[in-house]
Amino acid sequence: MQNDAVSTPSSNTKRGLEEQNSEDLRKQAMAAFFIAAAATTLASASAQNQNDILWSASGGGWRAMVAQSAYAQVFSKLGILGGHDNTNPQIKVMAATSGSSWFSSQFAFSQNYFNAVVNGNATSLGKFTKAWMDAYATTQSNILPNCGILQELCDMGASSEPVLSEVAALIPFALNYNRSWPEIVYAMYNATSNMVYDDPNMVFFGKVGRLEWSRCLFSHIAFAKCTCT
Amino acid sequence: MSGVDVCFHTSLLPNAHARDAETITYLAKDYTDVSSSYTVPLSYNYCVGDTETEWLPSSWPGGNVYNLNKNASFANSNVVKGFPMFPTKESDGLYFTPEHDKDSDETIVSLSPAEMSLPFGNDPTAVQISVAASSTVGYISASYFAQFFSVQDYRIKHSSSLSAVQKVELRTVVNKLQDLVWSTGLLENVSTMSGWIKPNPDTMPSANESNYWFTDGGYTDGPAAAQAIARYQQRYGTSTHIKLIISNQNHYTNNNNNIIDYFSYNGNEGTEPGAFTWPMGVGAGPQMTPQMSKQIFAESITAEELSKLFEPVSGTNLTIAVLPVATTVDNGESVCCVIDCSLFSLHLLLNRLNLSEL
Repeated sequence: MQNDAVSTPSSNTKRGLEEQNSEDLRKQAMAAFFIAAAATTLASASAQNQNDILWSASGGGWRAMVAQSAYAQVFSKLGILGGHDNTNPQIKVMAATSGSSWFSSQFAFSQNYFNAVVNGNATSLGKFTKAWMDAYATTQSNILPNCGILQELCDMGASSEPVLSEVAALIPFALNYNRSWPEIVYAMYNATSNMVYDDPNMVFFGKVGRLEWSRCLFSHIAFAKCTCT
Repeated sequence: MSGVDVCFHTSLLPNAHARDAETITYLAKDYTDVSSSYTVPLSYNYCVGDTETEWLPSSWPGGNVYNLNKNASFANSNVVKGFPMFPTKESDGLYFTPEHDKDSDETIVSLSPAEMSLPFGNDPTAVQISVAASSTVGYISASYFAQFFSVQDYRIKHSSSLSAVQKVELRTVVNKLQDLVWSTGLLENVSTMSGWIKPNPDTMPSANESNYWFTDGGYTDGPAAAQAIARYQQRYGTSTHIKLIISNQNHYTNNNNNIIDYFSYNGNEGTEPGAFTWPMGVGAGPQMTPQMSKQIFAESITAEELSKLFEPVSGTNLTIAVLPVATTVDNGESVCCVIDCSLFSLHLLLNRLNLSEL
């Protein structure tokens, strides 16, 4: 991913630019602070700093995916996650579930996504994330609040206990995608990989022989040069 | 990324309703013994290494397939007899036997494990495996949703904000919903079906009796730490001193339930690691059903001790904690190893497309 390909918020006024610069500085400062805090935390965990590291990550939807991308950038800058010049990363296992797996699938399976995270800074990652979310939002635009034969449940759920109301709120969304979680998430990957990080084949990776897939996944050759079929 | 194993943690639903085939398949620890049928989700991992990919565990449960009358009512049927429902009862056990074999109008057909088809053609795409790992409302598919609704039923009964009339109405709607979901298969694909082969799901076939469904990995191991350690020990052995970073973004108000589960604490007292139990936070958080105990460390910790370890990161919604050095429990197959745990916990509500805080 080339950072200049990421859409940027329009800020035509001087005040807007100043606010943007201030916001950028705030993010950079937060990132620097977090890097320091993370480094200190990791170092204090053991005097043996070269021990192998496992990184496990919970779900949490977009919250998790976005957080993981920020952590990955920090860990990459700390030199523990690997990157173009690191052939022996300290992190040996990345385990993720749910929203975090949305991050790790793109990070491990798309060179462009990987580059956008690792090669950027806090500001560019923020812009990249906003562009990703904007692309994802296109998959949910124009969905009417229609619950079909489940309208009675939606009406009840709207004024009910939190979990049930959340389920009810998902129904129009689910109906729009044929009540299919795979179709919902596939649409998310399809929109973001096409519109944001220019990797339309992202949704197909994995459909290759095992060794060939792994070679493609973990090589730092552009995917287009892989012989995956 | 060379040298980094990437693991996707998902959960396998314990039963699968194949609407078109008019069957329900109960996965079983031992497919020749219906009493070993699972009634709660099972932990599964898919790991991609430099030169190979692997499912963990490597073997798949067998299935006991029952024929069903698709027009039968669900709410009072025997489909969920023997399931552990909320609130937990003294009589609850796990691996409960679905009681289909006691019905005269139903026929048991046992499948051998080899006859259960491997998921995604045994060659998932990145999208397919992450869809499986993130099927967050998968609990509302198959007959497993009865367990979810048992929690909702309890909440309705004990709600202080609903009137008596509203409670009756809401429970009626919930029961009607269960019947509707069951009789039509309306929400079966909110979980992820193993027979999804081609990358684009719009061509996904209907489930048959040898298929099964995945739900969110958070229902068996929220932060996937047990899976990360298992994969590492499998690859590198158990004698190494390692570090563990857990980034925990699961819950807005209380991220600690799914961390304390890794330790010995009063919530898993008397439960052997790996045995099934009702986890901390049932009915109040993402855990809604019994789970396999996630205790992986021998050390004890209290909720208060855990909370005191967290320190805020100034200017962010993050807290960071360094957990005590921990030792993995002996599972009978391996010796212990020592782990330093660092925990990044994110307390940020981002469940709508409102990016003003980014």
